[in-house]
Amino acid sequence: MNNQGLVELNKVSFSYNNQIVLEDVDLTINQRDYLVLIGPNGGGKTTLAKLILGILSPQSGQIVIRLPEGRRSIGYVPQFSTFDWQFPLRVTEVIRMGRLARRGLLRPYSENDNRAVNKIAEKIQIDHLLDSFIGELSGGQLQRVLIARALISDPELLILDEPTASIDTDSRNILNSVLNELNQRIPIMMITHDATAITPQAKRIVCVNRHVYVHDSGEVSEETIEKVYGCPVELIAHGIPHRVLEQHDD
Amino acid sequence: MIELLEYDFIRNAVYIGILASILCGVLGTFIVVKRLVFISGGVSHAAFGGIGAFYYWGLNPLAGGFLVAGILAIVLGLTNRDKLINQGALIGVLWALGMAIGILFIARAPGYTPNLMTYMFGNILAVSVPDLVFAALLDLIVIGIIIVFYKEFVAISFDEEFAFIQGVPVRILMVIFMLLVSISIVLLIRLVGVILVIALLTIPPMISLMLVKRFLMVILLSMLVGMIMTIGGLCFSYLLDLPSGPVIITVGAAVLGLSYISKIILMKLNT
Repeated sequence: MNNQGLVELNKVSFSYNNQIVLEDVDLTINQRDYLVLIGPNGGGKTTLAKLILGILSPQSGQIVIRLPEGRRSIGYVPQFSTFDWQFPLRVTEVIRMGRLARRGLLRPYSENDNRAVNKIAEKIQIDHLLDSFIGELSGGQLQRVLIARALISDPELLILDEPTASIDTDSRNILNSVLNELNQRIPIMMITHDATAITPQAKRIVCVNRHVYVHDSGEVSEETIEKVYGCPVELIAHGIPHRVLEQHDD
Repeated sequence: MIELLEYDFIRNAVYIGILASILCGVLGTFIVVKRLVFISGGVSHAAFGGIGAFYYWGLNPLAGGFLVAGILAIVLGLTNRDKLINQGALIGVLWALGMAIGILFIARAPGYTPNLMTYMFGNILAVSVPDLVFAALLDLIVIGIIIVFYKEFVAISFDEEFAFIQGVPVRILMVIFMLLVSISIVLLIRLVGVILVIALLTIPPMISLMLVKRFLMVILLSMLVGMIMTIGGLCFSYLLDLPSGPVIITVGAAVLGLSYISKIILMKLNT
């Protein structure tokens, strides 16, 4: 098990309408990893997540998943900006969707599911919002609902896409402490374009811009991460003068 | 006005209005929240191509409509929703081409062609007893399928990708849903015609979404609003001696406008 990652991407390429989005991507997610994916918009961060989740299939290369229930063991928190906030659903109903796989077809949600919803909501501190409609929530609250929906299925790997985009400090603090606690047990992969969102807990930083470059902890020192904090996002993008990470040899 | 119900054709029109409203309330709610309005519009207009072709060949035109709508339903159900939205222009072409082909076939059809207007604008007063039986069966099938897969359909509507990750058979359920929509569209074409079908599917849920917040309530209220639209439209159409299809839609649009205005007033009063 030592050399085998929980998720392994080998020479994975993906193109969309003949445009290459990702090329020859090699990436391994290990037990207790904390990956932060950064890179410009359109660089392929979300595509990479969707390939791992199986929503998209690579044109070439292979993706190996070594989780107890395969891809079902992956918790996913999508970008919430893509949601219809006016959708007529209550917070409870949204979180409960994370139990769909466990319930299966033809079986209604049970009391157990409702108990699980209450438990996770308490943990993420949204139990007072359970009966609210999602249209009434703030960005940070809705984000926490989506995280609760991902965590209710007890995932073995958590993938979050831009979880810190436009959320309040309270929500961000709760998010960080929940993620740190989770990371004691399971690996986390977080996508962000917001440099200030990179938590010091991040163990590896992955730059995604058609190609994927992994900066192992040795390469990106704590000092570097400190520099990343508080800098405008441009500062860590590749090819910009005030580079924090070294440029890659293409 | 009540004595009107003594006429069989009026009674049938009221019955079919109620049955169609139930159908539209259920399917229309999902169509509106899942943003399938344009796609459903494309399907119903493309169906007109099949109606025209079967009319030309002397076959049952609605069977032709269903054939085209059904094939499209399967193709569109299998296509990823993001791709579909990117292909809006293609659906626009399908929309226009279906109408064009339908009209061309009917133009070339031998003899007198009195039914063209019926298919364009519908005739709720020409509904027969077999139509009623068909509509009632369709209502039962649609309600049955939606009840059985309710949690899955809601999950797909809210977040298709998440439902997929959770192992929900998204593609199969979407094909089933689009097939139900296309059968319903063909039935509705008889009522309000090709041009107005999409309004009957979308106006009631749009009104309900403004007024209530629970998903199930949106569906139930949509059914009720649909009934007000169709029966109210029928009454006005009789009183003003105007074609029923356009009057039904106008009544619906008026209710929509009134709900919108009253909601704004209520919001102003509350703040």
